[in-house]
Amino acid sequence: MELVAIFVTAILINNFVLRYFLGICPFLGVSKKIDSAISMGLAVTFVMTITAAVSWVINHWILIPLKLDYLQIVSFILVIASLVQLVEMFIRKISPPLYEALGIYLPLITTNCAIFFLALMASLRDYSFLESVIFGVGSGLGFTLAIILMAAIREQLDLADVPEALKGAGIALIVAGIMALAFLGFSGMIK
Amino acid sequence: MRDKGIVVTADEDVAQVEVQCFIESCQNCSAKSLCIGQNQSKGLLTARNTLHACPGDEVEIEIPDTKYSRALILLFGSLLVASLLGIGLGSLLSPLLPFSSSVSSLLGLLGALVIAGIVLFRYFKVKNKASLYPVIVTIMKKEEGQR
Repeated sequence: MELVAIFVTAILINNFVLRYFLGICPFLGVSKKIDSAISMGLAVTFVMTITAAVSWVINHWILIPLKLDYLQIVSFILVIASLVQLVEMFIRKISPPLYEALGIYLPLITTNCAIFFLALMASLRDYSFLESVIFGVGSGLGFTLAIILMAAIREQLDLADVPEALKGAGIALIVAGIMALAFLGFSGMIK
Repeated sequence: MRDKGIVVTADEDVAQVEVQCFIESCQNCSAKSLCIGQNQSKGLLTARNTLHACPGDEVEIEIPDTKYSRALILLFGSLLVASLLGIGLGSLLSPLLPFSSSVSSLLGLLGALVIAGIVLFRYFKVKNKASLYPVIVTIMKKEEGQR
């Protein structure tokens, strides 16, 4: 039951994008088409899941036993950067054209503060390994949900008569604000 | 998506195309060096050269961006599913193994990622040749010396 609560809370109630306003760069930058939003969402979810697992291992098997907790921030940054680098190397190996096409796409994940927040939050809440992974998956899926909803709205907005001054980032930020208000409705769902 | 560029090198069916718009759209981006390199002034793409364009030709290339999105969804989707299955299996099998739950979950995760990696490697080996490279669709202007 505890795991379900962590999962649902991470997706709906404490949504990283719409509650904490983390990961706004890819949220606004890669939400123009649903296809690319889904792929970015899945990429972030995968990296979040692995980050949650690896950072738990580093924290509980190295940092805490050696009383090096003060190195958490540095270690987590290193974990995230290394993971993204590994994923990048893997993609370059399996599909060079896909790697060429990705460009800034993957480094955007490294600089996504949501992933760093996830690692820190899981450590602060003293989650077990499984809880940490579920928290990672839930947070990633929450990010994916938010970015897909945003992409769907922006695709429709292309057909709408938006005032000239609000076109582009302006209307996107207003939509994000309204979505955040809507997601506030989920708070209190799980006590 | 279509884009214009100039062929830099061409070997049989593959050509390197210098794409102009990469620079125009990236001009003010502080992360430009991550994409196209610090000292590189233009973006280079490897494209299938079915029209046998030569170096210096101005060409139009078709970039299969929808296929890229689908390939990424497949790639990250299967890696995600594999890692969750690995963790789940590792956790379920932990009473039968001489490790703690977290160690067996981690081993399950690693095992699942290796298997998924091998499967994806084989799948994309076929897929790359078939459809993921951009294709030169029009030779807009031949290099002066070749006319």
